[in-house]
Amino acid sequence: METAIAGIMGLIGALAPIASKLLAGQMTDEEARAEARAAWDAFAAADVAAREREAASDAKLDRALAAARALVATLGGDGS
Amino acid sequence: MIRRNAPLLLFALACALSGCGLSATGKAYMTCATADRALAASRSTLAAYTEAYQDALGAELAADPARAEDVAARATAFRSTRGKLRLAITSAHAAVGVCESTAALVESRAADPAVLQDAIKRLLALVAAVTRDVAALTGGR
Repeated sequence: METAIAGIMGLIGALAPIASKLLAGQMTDEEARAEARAAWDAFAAADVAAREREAASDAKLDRALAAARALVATLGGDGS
Repeated sequence: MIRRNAPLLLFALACALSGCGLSATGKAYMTCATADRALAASRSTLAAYTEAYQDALGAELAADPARAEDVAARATAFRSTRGKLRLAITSAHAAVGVCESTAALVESRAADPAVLQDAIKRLLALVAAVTRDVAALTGGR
């Protein structure tokens, strides 16, 4: 729920400046082209950051799993 | 319902707004920009959800280490779904590139505007599907 709200808020934040320019009739074709370029680059940056966050999260859980398995193996049975 | 479709509704709104005062190719570039912003937001949401979901699995594991195999199975299933969504987002991003290239060709009069219209139609359908799928995974539960 929180992540969905964060995503929606992020989207609103990203679109608001574009929408206000368009509504004010301030955007030209040239600016639209530049905006597309900027959005392309922004996606690439978001993708790299997302991959890093996911890799760190995966590694954290994998370490916890390895520790839990080692504990269960040491104690035997159900780990109690 | 509204919460689940909010990214899509915003996307449609932004596309409608992109009609103001621009030529056909200008509108196409704005559609591409809007699509890429929506995809970037979906990508960030997926990463944030990954952290939240896997942290919850970690907490479950800390409370009961004997559940390691069950937690591992759920982590594997989640990562598989996430991989498919990542791929869908990457494909939609590539489609933005195709749409931009087509707009440039139309602008230089080397291509038929109908081709651009078709590219935009395909792009919108693809991005709408991707944002909906990410919203379903991260907010629809």
